[in-house]
Amino acid sequence: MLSLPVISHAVAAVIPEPAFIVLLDGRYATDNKAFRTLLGLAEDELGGRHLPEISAQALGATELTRLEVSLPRIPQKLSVVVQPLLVRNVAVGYCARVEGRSSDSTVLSDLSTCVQRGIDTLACGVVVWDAGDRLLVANKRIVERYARYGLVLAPGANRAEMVRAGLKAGLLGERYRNMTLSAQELSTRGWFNRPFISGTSTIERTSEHEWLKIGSHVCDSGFIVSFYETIDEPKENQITPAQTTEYLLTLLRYLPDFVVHMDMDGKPEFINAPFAEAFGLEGWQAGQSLSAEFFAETFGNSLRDSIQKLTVDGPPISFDQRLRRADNTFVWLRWSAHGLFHGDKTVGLVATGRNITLEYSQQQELKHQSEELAKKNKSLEQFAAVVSHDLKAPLRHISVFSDMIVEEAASGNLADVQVYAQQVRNSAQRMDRVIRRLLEYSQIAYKIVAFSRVNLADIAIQAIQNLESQIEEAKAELLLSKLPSIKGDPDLMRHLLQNLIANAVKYRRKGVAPRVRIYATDKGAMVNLVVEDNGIGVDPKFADRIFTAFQRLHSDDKIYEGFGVGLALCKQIAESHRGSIELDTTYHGGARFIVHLPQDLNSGGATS
Amino acid sequence: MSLEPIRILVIEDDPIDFSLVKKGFESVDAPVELFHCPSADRVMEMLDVRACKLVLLDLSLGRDTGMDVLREIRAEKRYSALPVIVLSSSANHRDIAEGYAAGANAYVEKPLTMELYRRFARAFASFWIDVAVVG
Repeated sequence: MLSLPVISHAVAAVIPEPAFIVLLDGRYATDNKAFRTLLGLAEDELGGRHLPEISAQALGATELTRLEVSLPRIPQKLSVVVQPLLVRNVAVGYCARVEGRSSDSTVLSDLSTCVQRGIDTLACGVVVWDAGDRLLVANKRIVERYARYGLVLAPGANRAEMVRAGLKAGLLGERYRNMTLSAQELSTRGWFNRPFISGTSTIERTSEHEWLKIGSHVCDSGFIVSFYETIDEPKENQITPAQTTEYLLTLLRYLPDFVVHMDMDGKPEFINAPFAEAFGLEGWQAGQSLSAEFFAETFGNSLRDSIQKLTVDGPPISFDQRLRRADNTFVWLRWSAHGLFHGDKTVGLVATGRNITLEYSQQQELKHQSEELAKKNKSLEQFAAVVSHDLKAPLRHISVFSDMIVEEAASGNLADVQVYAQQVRNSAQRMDRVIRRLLEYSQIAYKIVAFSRVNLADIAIQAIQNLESQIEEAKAELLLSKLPSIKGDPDLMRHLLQNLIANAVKYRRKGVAPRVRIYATDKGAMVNLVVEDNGIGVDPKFADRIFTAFQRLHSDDKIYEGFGVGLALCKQIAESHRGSIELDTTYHGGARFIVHLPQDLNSGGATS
Repeated sequence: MSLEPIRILVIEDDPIDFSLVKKGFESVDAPVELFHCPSADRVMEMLDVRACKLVLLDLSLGRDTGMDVLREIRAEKRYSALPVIVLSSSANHRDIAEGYAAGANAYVEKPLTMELYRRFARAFASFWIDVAVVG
């Protein structure tokens, strides 16, 4: 590593007489060949030794000082002429020449040029800044290097300004060239300001395609000495910017999340490899440009739009997006977009997208379940209402009429007793009907749905078998077409079909044998299961009401006898399968009920 | 006491319950005339035509609820002060609270014996016909 002794060495070498150089703090820096030959010393034998007397006595002297000095390992005292090494009137050290060995032992007038000449002999660039960050001295190579970029390294120039000018000019390669930082920003960012870490170095690739190693040292005097060394190519243990990029790209490759850096126009500057692969952009390489249009076409404008909403103080923007991948599957991505700012101005965004497809479907499942629960709760409330009214009413009637029978009997008036007794019996029968329906309803309505693959044809056959006696009695004709399989609860599906078929058989036209058709039509991800009859049909104005008839059982008896709970249950069953049921009011040959059921509950899967 | 019979509208969808109310009022000395309104959609029409001074209201009226009928009556400016007495089979505290909140003047649970029907009718008459000042 280059350091001050190297400079001293270069300076000493250009002094013709035997001489050595002492640093400002009194440390022996180096000596020249003539000196070593004179005293029989090896190279760097005395380097680093302390010679306090020289600095103490010569301090402040601008002219010659004659001293008798004792040097370690040298038995005799040496008579030397000490002269400050001045660089632009600043002492950077002392030069001690052995007296009487030179032809002229007076002031070495060109000693200051010795410093310049000395450092000019060095192969590397050297630049020394004083404690006030002013340029003290720079060697030929540095001056030439700056000159190539149109910069003048004038003595006294400010260090931060020169560094910034160098960066802007491309002295350290293209990547610093477009920096818009001001000198003040540079210093506030702590990049080039003091305190300086001595001994650090950086390796940069210049725009002349050479590798430059820049090392800096801070001396006790506060001087900063920088060396610019041209090196062949970075050694393996020196992390280069290129390797750093490669390293970071590797990290991003193994990150499961998608990462995108987007500019203000929605143009992606960078996307990480998993992102590129998931969307069929395998050929895409970091650094290659991707058009904003292409990106928007594939990913929509949500990300670009969020750029406008991002503020320096605001939180990142988060949203979920459903996207079709290259393999035609869908993913849900949860984006988190963070703004990139220059001052207060947004200059782009960095967003990460996490695949939450699994979480999303779980969330949907939970949502469905909670909706189901809410529905069940609602029917429980209905149940309570029905119990409180529809059961209580006939019970109250029984109570009142039996009480009246007792009254009448006591007064010996038996004329109306039979009428009252009839009322008691009717009320009891009504109560019985209500209880039966409630039981039927509660058995189905509160059943937790257990899904499995269900062959609807098998289910329909079971339902028909259960209705055998009614079908026989009505001499009904049943036409069962080929039915598909669905994901569903076999018990509930059987109940649904049984209800619909029973209604179809029951509400027949007088003197016309019922004809019931059961068939299915595919409609994409949905199956339409149809039960159609040639019976009396349902007045279209009741098309909605018949499915909620459960709300009232008794007074609607005349109209909906049998429909009541049955269709309300069918509706519940269809809904718990994420489907629906409707009366087809366009059909006039009887009644046609259509049950819409998803083939697969999770998605629009393939037809089975 | 006026000789003109007091006209009472009985809003009740169950014909048996209406007959019981009617029977109960037979034991009342005061001249009353009961009008049976079996469904919610006829309430306004009957109030207008029959000019009833008092209303007996059942809370469960088939597809409609008596609570909605009550609110409808109260929303009508000319009936905002009309005495409406709820006669319901429900003793549910929520129904009771809701009934009063919706503007019921009294809430009565439907009686379980004929004697209680008569007692209700007499108490009703002695307060709403003999004592209370009805607009």
